[in-house]
Amino acid sequence: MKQDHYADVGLFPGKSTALGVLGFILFLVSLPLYLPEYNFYLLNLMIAHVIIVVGLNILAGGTGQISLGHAGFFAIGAYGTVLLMQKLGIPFIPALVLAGFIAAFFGFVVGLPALKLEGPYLSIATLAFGLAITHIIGHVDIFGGRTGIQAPPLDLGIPQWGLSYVLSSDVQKYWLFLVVALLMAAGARNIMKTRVGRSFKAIRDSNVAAGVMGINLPAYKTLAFAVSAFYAGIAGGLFGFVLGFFNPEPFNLVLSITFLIMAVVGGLSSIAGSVAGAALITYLQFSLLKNIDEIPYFGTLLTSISERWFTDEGLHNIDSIVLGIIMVIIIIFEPSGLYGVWLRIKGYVQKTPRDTHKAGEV
Amino acid sequence: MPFLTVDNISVNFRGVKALAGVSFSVEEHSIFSVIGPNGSGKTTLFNLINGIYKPDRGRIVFQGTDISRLSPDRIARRGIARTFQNIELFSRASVMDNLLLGRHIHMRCGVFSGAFMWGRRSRAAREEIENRESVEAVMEFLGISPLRDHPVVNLPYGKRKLVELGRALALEPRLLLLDEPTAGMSADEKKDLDVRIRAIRDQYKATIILIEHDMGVVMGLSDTVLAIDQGRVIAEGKPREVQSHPDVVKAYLGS
Ligand SMILES: Nc1ncnc2c1ncn2[C@@H]1O[C@H](COP(=O)(O)OP(=O)(O)OP(=O)(O)O)[C@@H](O)[C@H]1O
Ligand SMILES: [Mg+2]
Repeated sequence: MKQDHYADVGLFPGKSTALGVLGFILFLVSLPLYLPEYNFYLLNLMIAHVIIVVGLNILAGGTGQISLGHAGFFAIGAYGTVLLMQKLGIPFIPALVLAGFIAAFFGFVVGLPALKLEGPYLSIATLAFGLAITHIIGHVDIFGGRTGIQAPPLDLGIPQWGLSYVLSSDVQKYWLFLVVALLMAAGARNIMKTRVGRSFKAIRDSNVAAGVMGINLPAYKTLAFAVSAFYAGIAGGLFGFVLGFFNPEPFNLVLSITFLIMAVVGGLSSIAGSVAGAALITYLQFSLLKNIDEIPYFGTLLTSISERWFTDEGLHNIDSIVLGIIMVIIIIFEPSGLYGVWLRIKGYVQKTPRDTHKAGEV
Repeated sequence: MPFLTVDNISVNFRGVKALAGVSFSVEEHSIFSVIGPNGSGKTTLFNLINGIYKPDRGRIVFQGTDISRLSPDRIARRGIARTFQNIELFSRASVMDNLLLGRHIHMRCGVFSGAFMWGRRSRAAREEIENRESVEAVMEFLGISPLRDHPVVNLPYGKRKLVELGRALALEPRLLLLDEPTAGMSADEKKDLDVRIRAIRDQYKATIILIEHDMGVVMGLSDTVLAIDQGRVIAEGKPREVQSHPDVVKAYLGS
């Protein structure tokens, strides 16, 4: 039987996956029909996080390099997009893409130490970058300093030519963000299925063999940083318009760590996992854990425990504590994260022999 | 001009002389075997040819160029591939992906053409299809086609050795370095591999350097044998001559 090799790399491996993905996309597109408007701030935030975590996964899950500076690239994307629009009059879409490339350039530069440093030493170099970036932004007037800057209206047209298409509501932005996220996720998946992604994974598995098979290690290690930073830049560009008004403060080390948690919880070997991890953690942080004290009995109990040991008042630290616990549980019981959990469920349902970490998954 | 010339090569590891002034040359399309007791420097020799180590002294000339200071990937691009004594596969990838990594130097697609693999006719998809076909031929040749989608971690030792050989062949090497390919194999598997190595030279037009402990395999396959002991050449020549060389006999009995 002649093998169809395209089936191995095509976006949809089979009819059932294609239908599943299509159904899921339709569901996402139609969400505004049944969800009230106020949910879409959170959903837009989720989408921005999904994009950056997918990019982080290309780096961490792909080459095995850990970045503690992704909030820095996120900031470059947010500030870059807004400033390119305001100061240079560039329309939104090109400004966003350009900001992505600026972030990618910084990613390349930050990746240079990867040629000499490994493991924790490299992570510390990225950490230093993340801290430096917000510091610089906070001290330069054009970036709005510590007070911050206001994002212009999100106009998809070219306002100078009188072509204006302003997305004013969160729902309108949601549709745009969704399209961007789908493109970025499909792109990441394609990258990981083809020559470059394969080389990233080869570097992670065996440096020596990768070199001997002709992979230029310095080039690919820095490339992984650049690609990952591009994703962070695009995500940051969208994030700026979720917030509307922002200053350097949110782009801190805790945010970088939160992105890593999202990637690990989702599973470092799969893009679908990254999407799930980012969405779940964002939901926990910004919705469930914000309102948990309002749950009858349980909320009061939790508050009293928290006030007894962890905080002066209320449930101030609850999200850090819960995220920490989730992280520990995942690392101990299911290192492949939500993606691994899903494989398990699928295994039980199908009752067929399965190869847990089916090779070829990103 | 010889195909490969190793010229007076020396390398030290923190005072340990792993190789001390080794010279030899290899004819194109020949099977050249390197024998020697444990720790004599055989694998180190491969690591030098591959560019994983840099020599302290000496030159390695491959098809007229000194490759001894090039990086491993530059050397691979010149058509030198290899297998490892302790198997260095990409453990989390499938058999197919491992062999495709052997095609790396023959492929062109970068991040952008990869990301925009929209549909069968896109550049990346065409490149994938083409190279997957040539990998399929290598799998066929080695009889590992049924394993194509298996993750390599789950494979038994003998199969993993074949996958590693397949990855090296996928590179279409002009020079193939095999570091103890029959280690851990049964007598039948050894006989099988013996035939395959000959076929590799004839079908793939490769020159082969073989590190091997099994004297039966060495005697049957080699055009030339090089014996080294403690980083020095002790004999070189036809298999029979080297086998009965007094220094070789002494090195093996003494170890
Ligand atoms: N990276 C290294 N660092 C330190 N010493 C090394 C290194 N690589 C090799 N050596 C030393 O060089 C010598 C030769 O080792 P090599 O692996 O080349 O031997 P070999 O002939 O392949 O042996 P075997 O038959 O056991 O595979 C040994 O003494 C070894 O300890
Ligand atoms: Mg050895």
